[in-house]
Parts: sequence; C-alpha cells; structure tokens
Amino acid sequence: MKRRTLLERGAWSSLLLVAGCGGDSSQSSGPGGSDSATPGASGAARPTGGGTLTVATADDIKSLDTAVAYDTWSTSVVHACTRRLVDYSPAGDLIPDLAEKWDVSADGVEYRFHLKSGQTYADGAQITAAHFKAALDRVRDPKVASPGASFYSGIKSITAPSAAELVVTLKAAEPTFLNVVGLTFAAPVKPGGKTEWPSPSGPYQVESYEQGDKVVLTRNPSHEAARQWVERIVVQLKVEEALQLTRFKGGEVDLLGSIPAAEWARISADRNALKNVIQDAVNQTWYLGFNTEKKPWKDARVRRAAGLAIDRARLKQFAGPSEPASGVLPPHVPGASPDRAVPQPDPEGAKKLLAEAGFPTGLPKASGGTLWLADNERYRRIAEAIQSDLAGVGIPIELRAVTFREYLEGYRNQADCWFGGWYPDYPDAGNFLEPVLHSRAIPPKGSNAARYRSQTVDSLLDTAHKTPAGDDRNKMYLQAEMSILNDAPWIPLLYEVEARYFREGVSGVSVHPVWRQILTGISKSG
Amino acid sequence: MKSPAGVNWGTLLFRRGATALVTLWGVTVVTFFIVYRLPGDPAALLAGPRADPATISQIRESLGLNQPPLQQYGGYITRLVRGDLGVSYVRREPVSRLIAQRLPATLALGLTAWAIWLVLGSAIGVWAAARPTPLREGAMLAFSVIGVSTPTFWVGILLLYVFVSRLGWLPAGGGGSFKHMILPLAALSLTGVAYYSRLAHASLRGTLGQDFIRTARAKGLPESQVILRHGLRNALLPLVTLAGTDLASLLSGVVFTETVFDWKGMGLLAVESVSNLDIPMILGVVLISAVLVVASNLVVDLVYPLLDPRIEVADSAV
Amino acid sequence: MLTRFRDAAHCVTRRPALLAGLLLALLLVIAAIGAPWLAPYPPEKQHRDGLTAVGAPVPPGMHFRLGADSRGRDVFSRLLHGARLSLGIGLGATAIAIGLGLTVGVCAGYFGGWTETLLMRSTDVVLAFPSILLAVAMAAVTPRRSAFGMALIIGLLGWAAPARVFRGETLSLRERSYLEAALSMGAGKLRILLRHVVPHLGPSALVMASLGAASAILLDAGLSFLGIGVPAPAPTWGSMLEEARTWYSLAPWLAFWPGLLVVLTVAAFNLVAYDLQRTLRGERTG
Repeated sequence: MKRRTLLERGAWSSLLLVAGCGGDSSQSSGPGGSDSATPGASGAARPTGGGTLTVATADDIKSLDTAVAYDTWSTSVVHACTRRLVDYSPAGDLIPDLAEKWDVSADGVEYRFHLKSGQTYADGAQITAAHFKAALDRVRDPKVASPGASFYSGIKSITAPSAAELVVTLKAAEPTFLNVVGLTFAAPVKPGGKTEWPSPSGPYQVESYEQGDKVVLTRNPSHEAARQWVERIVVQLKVEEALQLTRFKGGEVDLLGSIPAAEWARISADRNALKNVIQDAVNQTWYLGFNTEKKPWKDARVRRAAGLAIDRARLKQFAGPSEPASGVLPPHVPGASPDRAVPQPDPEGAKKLLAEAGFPTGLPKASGGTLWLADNERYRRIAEAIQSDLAGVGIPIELRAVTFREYLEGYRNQADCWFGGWYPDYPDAGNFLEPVLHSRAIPPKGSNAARYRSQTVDSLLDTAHKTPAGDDRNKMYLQAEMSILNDAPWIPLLYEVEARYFREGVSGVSVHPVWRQILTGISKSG
Repeated sequence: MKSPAGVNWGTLLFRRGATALVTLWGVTVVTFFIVYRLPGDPAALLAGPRADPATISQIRESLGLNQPPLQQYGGYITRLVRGDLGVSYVRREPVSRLIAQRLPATLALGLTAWAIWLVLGSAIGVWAAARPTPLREGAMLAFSVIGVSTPTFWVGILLLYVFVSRLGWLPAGGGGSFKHMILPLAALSLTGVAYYSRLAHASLRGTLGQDFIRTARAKGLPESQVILRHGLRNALLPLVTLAGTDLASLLSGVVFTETVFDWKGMGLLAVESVSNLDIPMILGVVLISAVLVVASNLVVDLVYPLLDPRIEVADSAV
Repeated sequence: MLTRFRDAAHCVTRRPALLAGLLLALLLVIAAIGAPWLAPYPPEKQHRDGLTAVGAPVPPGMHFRLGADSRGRDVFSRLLHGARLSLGIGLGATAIAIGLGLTVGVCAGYFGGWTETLLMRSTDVVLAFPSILLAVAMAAVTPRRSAFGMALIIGLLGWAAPARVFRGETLSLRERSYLEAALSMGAGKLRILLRHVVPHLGPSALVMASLGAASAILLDAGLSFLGIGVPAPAPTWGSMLEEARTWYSLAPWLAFWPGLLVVLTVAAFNLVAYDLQRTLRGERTG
C-alpha cells in the first residue's frame, strides 16, 4: 500500500492548529456559468453524470482549510472544490484557469493577472481579485501557521486594483512563482465564508467532513464539465488496507487510491484484471538516507558500500508498483535523466569498500545503527529487504518502525539512517532538492536530515534557482545530482509508480503528476 | 456470612463509592506517569517542521510541558475534577466529545457481544450439564478450552478469509447495517461464550447436586422442569453478576475486534491515539474505560446481596 | 521406583486433560529448544525464490514446507523459532507475575491493616484497566522491546489476580492454629511466612501459573499483532499474524499456522490449569 503520508509534503498539516473562525456557510446552489479548465479527466467518459463514487484510503484528511490542507488527500479534496488563477494540465504543465492572461514585468518582479469575467462560486457569488488577495494574505499570516507559507514568502505586496485585476509584487524575481500560484493554497477565499472548508469555486463542494471517518462531496451544479461526472463523492478515511480490498471486492467501494501489495501480486500478471487499473510514474523517489554526521555513516565509503549492497530489482519485488531508481531526481522533473542505467548490486565491491573504510570483516554488531521508517506493511517490507541486503555485506542495522508523526520528528533528529520518500510540490528540480540537500536546510532550520554539506551542490542549487527554465538550468541540476550520487548522502532506491484500482463501470480515473490523487473527471455508469 | 438484613445500605454505598474513587485516582496516576514517558516532543510534533525553536517553546509553555511532572499531573487532575478531559493534540477537539462520538459504536458491539456471551454460553453449559454424557462433557470441555485459548484477532482474520474473501457473503465490518456487525460480533463472542459455557456448566452441575433439587425430583417433577424451574434460576444468577465484573476483558476483546474489522469505536481510538502520541486522548480513553469497569463492579457489588443465591435457595426449598 | 512410575503414569492417563496439556506443552518445548536444529533455514533469511516474480509469497511445497512469507522467508522455520519467543516471553512473564503476586498477596493477607489496604487498592487499580490498553501504553513508551522487556511488561500486568487469590489463602491459613503455635514459640514473622505460609500456597500457585502463562502468551501475541511486540525481523507469532492481515486472501497459510500455534500453546496451559483446579477442588471438598 502506498501511504502518501510518508512523503514530506503535507506531513504537517495535521498537526497545525486549524485556525479560522466559523461563519455562515454558503452552500445553496445558484446559477452561474463557467467553463472548465479543470485538469485530470483523462478518461473518455461516456457522460452519465450521476451516482455516487466511493473511494477508500488508509490516510486521514487532516484539514480542509485551503491554507492548511497539504497532505495528499486533503489537497486532493481541496483541489476538487476549488479553481485557481492558473492550473496544472493532466501532463503537469501550467495552464490559465481563472486568470485569462497575465503580464510579467521585465525584471520578473511584478505579476499582473487578468481574471476571466463571470466566474462564480457554487452559490452564484462573483469571484473577484480581492478573494485571491485574501487567500494569499491568509496563507502568509503567521497566526494561520500555514504549511504553505514559505512558498509565498517572496511576495512583497498584493493589490487588487479592480475586481478583475490582481497585482503581485515580489521581493526578487522568482522563475517558479507561477507554479505556486497554481497550488491549492492560492485558491480564492470568499469573504465571510467559513474557512474550515474551501470556498466552493470548483466542480465539487464539501457536504460533510468527519475527520478519521469520511468526507462527502457533491457536485457544483453550475460547473459545466462536471455535469458528466459523478454527483457525489464519498471518501472513506483511515480504512485499513485489507479492508479496503474486501470492501472494493464486495462492491462497497468503487475506487482505491492504491493497490494493496497482496492484490498487486495477484493481478499484476493478469491482463484482464489490469483493465481496471491505471498506473503512472509520479515524481517521487524512495531513498535510503544517512545522517552523515553519525558513525559509521560519516564515512562516505560505508554509505557507498550500502549503495552497492542494495538489489533494486529485488526491492521492486517487495515494493509493488515502482521502478528501480537510477538517480535522485524523479523521472518527470525537468532536468532528470530517467535513461541513466540502474546500478546493479555488487556485494564484493561493497565488501572491498568496507575493508578500505577499516571494516575488513564487516561492521561490528548493531553498529550500523537504527533505520527509521514510518509504519505500514509496504514500508516495513521494503525496509526489511534493505536490512537483509545490508546484512549480506556485513552492515547490521536495526529497524525502528514508528507512527508517521514520530517518524517525522525521529528521522530528522534521532535516526542513524532512514527509509524515506520525497516528492516536489510541483515538477521542479529546485523545489525537490533545496529543502532536503542544501546545507541551508540542515535541521533545525529545514529538512536536510542527512546534514549533507557540499559547497559545490549549494552553489549549483543557488545559481540554478535564479536561472529561467531551460537547458542551462537543467544542466546545473544534473551536475548537482551527480555530486550527490557520488557523495551518497542518499541512496536512491525506487521511483514511485502510482496505481489506481477501479470497479467496472468507473471511468475517467487518472494519476496526476502534481495532485497525484485526483477526484475530478470521474464518471460511473450503471 | 453476609445477610441482606445486616447490610447497612448507606455505609455500604459510601464505602464502595469511596473505594471506587480511590481506584480511579490510582488509574490516573499510573496512566499519567506511563504516558508522560512517551517518546517524542509533543510541542515539536504540534508545531510542524517549519516552526522555529521560539514557536516550539511557546507551544511547550502553553501546554505546560515545561513544568515538573508532578505539577503537570496536578494540573491534569484539577481539570479532570472539573470534568475537563483536555483537547486532543491531533484532532484539536475536546477529548470528551471525541469519546462520546465513538462510545455508542463500542457499546453497541460490546453489549451485544456481552449478551451473546451470557445467552449462548448458558445454553451450551445447560446442554452439557442437563444430560452429562461423556460425549457432551468432552465436547463441552474441548469447546471451552479451545474457545478461551483462541485470540480474537485470529478468529477475526479467519472469518474475514472465509466469509468475505472466499464466500463473499458478508461485508467486512466497518459499521452501518446489522450485516456489518455479524462478523465482528462472532469474533468477539467466541472467547466469552466458551468461558461462560464452562461457568454455566459448572454452576448448574453444582446446583443440580443440591438438596432442594433432590427434593424437587423426589416430588416427581420431570427432569426438564427441575432444570428449568429450579436449576437454571439458581445456577445462572451468579453468572450474571460475574459477567458484570468482567467488563475489562470484554473491553480488551473490543480493542482487537475493532482493529481487525475497522470498527470505528473507542478501542480503535485508543490504539490510534497511542500511535499518534496523542497524550490527552490516551489518558481520556483509558480513564473512561476504567470508569466503565469500576462502575460495573460497583453495581455488581451493590446488587449482589439482592441476588445472593442462598436466599433463592431458601425460597425454593419451601 | 518402577511402581511409583507406573502409579504416576496411571494417574496421568486417567486425567485426559492433563495428559493432553502436558503432551502439547512438551512438543512445544521440544520445538522451541530444538528450533536451530529442526528448522531447515535461518528464520530471518530472505530467500530469492521465496517470492514470485511479482512479489507474491510462494505457497507450501517441496522447498518451503509451510510456504514462504511476504518477505520470502520460510514460514516453518519462523514458526519454530517463534515458539522460543512465545514460550520464553510467556513463561518469563508468568514468573514475574507469580513472584509479584505472591509477595503482594501474602504480605497483604498476613500483615493486614494499612499494608493490606494499600496493597489491595493497588491491585484494584491494576484490575480496573482493560489490560491490553495499559500494555499498549507501556509498550509504546519502551522503544527497544527485547523479549525480556515484553516479559516484564506482561508480568507487571499479570500479578493482580494471583495476588488476590494468595491473599485469600493466606488469610485462611492465618486462622489455623499451627501458625499461632509457631508464633507463640517465638518464631520470627518472616520465618513463619517462608516456612509455614508460602509452602501451602504451592498448589494454587501452580494453577495461577498455568492460567497466567496462557493469558501471557495471548497478550504477547496480541501486542505483537498490534505492532508493539519484539521488533522485526524477530519471528513472533503475533507479528506473523499482523503481516498476514494484508496477505490472507492471497496467502492464507500465513494466517493459519501462527494462529493455530498460539491456540495450541495457550490451550496446553489452560488444560493443565483446568485439571489442576479440578483436582484441588476435589481434594478440598471431598
């Protein structure tokens, strides 16, 4: 099973205070036309437009406040309920949505967005530029403690000169600013509405939400394209993996966001069963990380030896849907080299490196320290395979499977090594690498739990950050990646492949490169 | 020798009540000082990875986590006396409200299972004791020993495999209709039914050996009448009182049943709150469970003199 | 000597519950002690051919007699080694629980007064917890859970019920005249306790121990099932069942065998306890 929560992104939203105050909910339906630019409906659904789609996940939705929602399922629901100035196409490219067009000043500091006219919320109220300002002001408000605040920290000022015009001035040019405008944090917030739920600017709206139990969405009647989609969506939360499957097979659940390992092992060779599966690689790298300040991982030779011990083909057997990784950057990030050859296991080479590092007969008992992982069956399986591979070359490690909450704190501060997964908020190498491998981000300031310090990598990342998208930028990220692979603060293991399992009659299910779990565009017949 | 006439109800109530309160206080001490040692810094967990050290220490301050343990405990008890169970770290909602949400599901499952324990257990016990052939006795022994030796969660997995995966007859728990409840109930019932069948069996056999039963038989009453009219009443009353004191093991079974079948009750809440290091939630769930256990013991204690079988014996013998 | 043996044998065969229980226990002890020699593979070895190409466990067959698990390990070898952990933890916990229970019960019963009130109230406290909740909390605060640690946690939860029984028995022993006689002859209190009280508690201690071992093994399996037992890759029966939760529909053998072994082990101790209880009752009433 894939539990998205292992990923850094969004991990914390659950823990943040859900700030905000109650208010009148405005949920009555009303007129208001809108055209759709909502991405993700990749399936050619025969328009049936109705019915209830029931989805089950092992994760919880921690908050539906647009400023707070950050983990995969929370984002996914907020995404289904909102639209933003710009959006991501099914391929992950930026496209205009509520903004018709925008102008960027020559110095790259001022963005002037022109809104499409006649756009409304589900209750018919107009969406105006001030609502976007309100949203961005909220995210940046320290009192709200938004996990997305740092995306917008480069903003100097926001003004809404008219209902149809929004001007954002940055402190300095940011080539990736439009990317963050497309995130759910930047969805318009209706004044006076309640902030616990998203203001319904999108194809669906929240009908009810019970943490740890379920979320119910209903279709926004004024949303044109959504007319072909299911009328209601029920997301069952915190459903244990084995039960997801039995409910799915019993017909109580129409769609599983991930396929339990046991079921995957059963159907992955069965072409007929695979008709009801959509799978696609996403921008996520599973890796083995080391605290490079602690023994024995301080020595790069020991880290490299661990890398040589790993048999990625076998790991894939353990991990279910995934691909062996050849690099740190996941395949669909600009600048990644997905064609690089996958390193083959080399136990002899590993032993030689260990001997060079002063351990000719392998490391002494328990000296490899403790590998931390978030506790679920899939991760435990992978971690035990790693443990077995490392033991094979003479690196004994202990496993510490802890709850996700404990893991987040533990791997940063206590772990000797850890099994981790990382993915960018949007397809960009800088967004992927800087928070975890730049020396600026060493804890407590950031998430560089490896305590990796490389001047080469730091300066490459800093220069690339300011360089506009293109070959030059990609080349710098490639150089940085090569340095990282050589220094081995991380051993990349697998690239994640996400698979959705849906029942006969469900169509339009997709995997989205940015949103991953996507609830829009799905219809159901019968 | 207890006699209902000799019981001073006021004193009894006061003494038992005081004992119960002392017990519950002990429960809070034990739980608090265990949970106090949970690994991980609650303030850092609450603040998130982007929080600066200042924010974390601010949160720590506001939660009172800087105080020495005894002082923290004092604060906890003071709030508890006012009926405040605190606010869940994870859900940001009052613990009492979250428990109140989950309690009905647990009670529905637990009380139904409890009734099954008694009814089915007695029936099996009576079946074996009424005509004690070696075959019946042996079957009864085998059933009761295997039943009490079987982990609830294993029964759960086997039931899921057979009735959900293989046969597809029943839904896999989760709540909703009565159909959803069948498998969890079956899993939760086995141990208790096995246990009470043996108790009922032993109790009925004991009763059937007594003088007043012999008298009844001598009067020429048919055996079925003897068992139903005289034996059962006397044999099963102590069973009911005993079952009243058995709530703790019922709750333990509930924890596993809820885990296996994803039954959204208090047991699942308890396990989740431990995984989440949600200290107020753990304290709350454990305390409420202990209150249930202590209260049921108290009720049994108070009601027991009324149900004392010896009084019944005296009546029937007339 | 021979007749004695014959008597004993005769006695055992007339008590089928005891016989069955002892036989089962013997088999399990043999499995536990002999695990390193009886098991075809090391319990933690992940075999490449233990998983199919798509990652499914290999079913029972020539190579893996009871099949492989979801990590490609030999289930049979793990079961055998699991017996060591289960029995070890169960018996260790029982020793702790009986030892504590005996101390608390005898002291409470013998000294009476405030000692008794204090000790029995703490017994009430322990009995007021659903034991699994307390065990979960205790296991959660113990990051490195060795077999000894688990035995300690389970033992610390199991002393209350024996303590009550021992207190009751001590109370009734105190009434007996020979204790008074011993006291009047100037024997020290501790001496009386050790010489005249504790030995009389032997039979019921045996009953409490077998009942205690049964519930300790169940509780250990339960904790491992909830993921808070001895950590991976240790082959505990409970953790094998936990793994099986996600695999039972594809690989039912993963769920079947460890569960069956738990049942057999617990049943062995329950059978012994059942027989001893009957015998004790028989001795007293008739």
